[in-house]
Amino acid sequence: MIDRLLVTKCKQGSRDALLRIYEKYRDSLLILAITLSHDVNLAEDAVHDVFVAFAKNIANFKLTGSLKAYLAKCVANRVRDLMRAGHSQEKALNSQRACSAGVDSSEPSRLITCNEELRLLSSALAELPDEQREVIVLHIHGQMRFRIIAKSLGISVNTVKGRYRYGIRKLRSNLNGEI
Amino acid sequence: MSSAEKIKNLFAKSEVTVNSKVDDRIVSDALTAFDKSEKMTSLLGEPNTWRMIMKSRITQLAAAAVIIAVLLSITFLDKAGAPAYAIEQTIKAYDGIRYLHAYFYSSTASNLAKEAWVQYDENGEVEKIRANLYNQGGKNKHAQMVWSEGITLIWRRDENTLEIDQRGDFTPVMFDFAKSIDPREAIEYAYENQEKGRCQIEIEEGSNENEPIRITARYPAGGYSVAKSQPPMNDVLVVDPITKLVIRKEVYRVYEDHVELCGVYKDYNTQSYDPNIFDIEKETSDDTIRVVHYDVDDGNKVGIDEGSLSPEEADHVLIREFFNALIAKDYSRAGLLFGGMPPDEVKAKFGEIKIVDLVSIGDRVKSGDGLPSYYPCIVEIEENGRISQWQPRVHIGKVTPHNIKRRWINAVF
Repeated sequence: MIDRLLVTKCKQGSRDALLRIYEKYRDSLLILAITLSHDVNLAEDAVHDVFVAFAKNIANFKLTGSLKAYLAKCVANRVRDLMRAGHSQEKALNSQRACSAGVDSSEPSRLITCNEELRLLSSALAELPDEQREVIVLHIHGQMRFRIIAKSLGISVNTVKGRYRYGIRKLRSNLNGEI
Repeated sequence: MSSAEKIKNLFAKSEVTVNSKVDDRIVSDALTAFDKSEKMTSLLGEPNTWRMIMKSRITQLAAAAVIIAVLLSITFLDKAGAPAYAIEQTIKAYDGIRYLHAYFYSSTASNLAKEAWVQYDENGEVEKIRANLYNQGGKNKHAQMVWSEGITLIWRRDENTLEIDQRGDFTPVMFDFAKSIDPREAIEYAYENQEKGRCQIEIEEGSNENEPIRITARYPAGGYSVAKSQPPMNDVLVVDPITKLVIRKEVYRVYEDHVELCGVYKDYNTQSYDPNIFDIEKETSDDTIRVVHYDVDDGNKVGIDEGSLSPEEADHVLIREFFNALIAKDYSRAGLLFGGMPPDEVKAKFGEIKIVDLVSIGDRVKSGDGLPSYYPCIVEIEENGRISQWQPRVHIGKVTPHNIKRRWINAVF
């Protein structure tokens, strides 16, 4: 079903429509959050928070563009907030929370497993500065145009393009031999 | 394969396996928040009526009897024939559809006016659009347009020009077009309008299971669009009874004494087609004139401010500045004067030409071929130690961002 119809049905009280939105975008948003944070638990929390907020505020929600891009933007913002709030990337890198671990054994109720490609990508992206990683993930995985990313981050398009270019160059060297 | 493509590939192959406990946690919290949130009235606009009636014991008994009667009649109807068609079946049938190809015929239903191809991604979002216009009015009489990744290419075969819009100005136009041909959008539009009381949907099933289903959305006078003078309109979607996909859309004007067909979308096809259909560049030739509208960060930096100069004076200043920038190999400056072309592209295009001097700028000439007017120029160039003359036509464009008149050289080549 098309997104706008799902949103309309949600606004009219359809729980089924809300579940369909969740099922449709869950994996994509988790991958986005994992590649941004390199932390499966933080990724789960970010996607959780975004869906709960979306469900809570559905009455006032107005879909003006792509629902996927909207949710991706919300998840990226939430990841940024959670990382700033203490879920630091360094902590994740050396802990069971890192994507490479796949499963967080300390909290068995939270189980998300990454495949080999995602582990590789997430580890390589974790080496980049936050700004470069964010632009690469939003542009490639979030399929957001540079102009939209620039607007959402409050920076110029040229800055976004520069971060993307430098980030790709560094990522290529981080992944050297792996791809 | 470039590094960026390899990285894109890694993203595409990335997968997560999510335990149901994760889903339980997110879904449970989201549904709790959802149940507490404010919503619009229910689909039928009769919230809680059922619960209120059931509070009475007598009503409960009466309701039980009614339920038994209804169940019996449903059983009877089930035996009598196939279950009734519901719009949801068509919406579900479109899940996973990646391609759409349709023809639009104008009023007489025999004149092909438009043809369209749309490709969707796995989430059902538009990925690529192609529109071929046939015998339309104005500049785009026979234009063929392709949209992909925010860039629109407009191929005017009659004029042998290819307009490339990197700015995204044509994106909303192309999306509206894609929307207009998408039967799912038509269903959604009708559905939303019925909820708002603006139209009435009627579903008419054929007398046998092979006859198409007709979904008619009846709009009152002035209700179909903002045009108040419009008569009542009917949108009819003809649905295949087996696949439940829309096979035809008809648009009617309804008058007191007659009904007039004003448009037909037909031959809806959801099979994959030649991907080259979106590669419009392949249909152009080497001598096709290309006009590029670059995606520039700040339009105020492109070209020059007309200021108090007359348009012609400003054009002369602009042309001189452009060639001086090329002589100085200042490709950034030249690019900004050349419609915002990136410096590396300016270098690739003009870097090989050793410009010595701008000799003259001729009188402005109206193109007459759909292109902006141009100035015939004479430029001295040096090649293998010999000076020769190059006579480029310099097309000038104008724009008024924030009420400041600016003029720039159109990237025409």
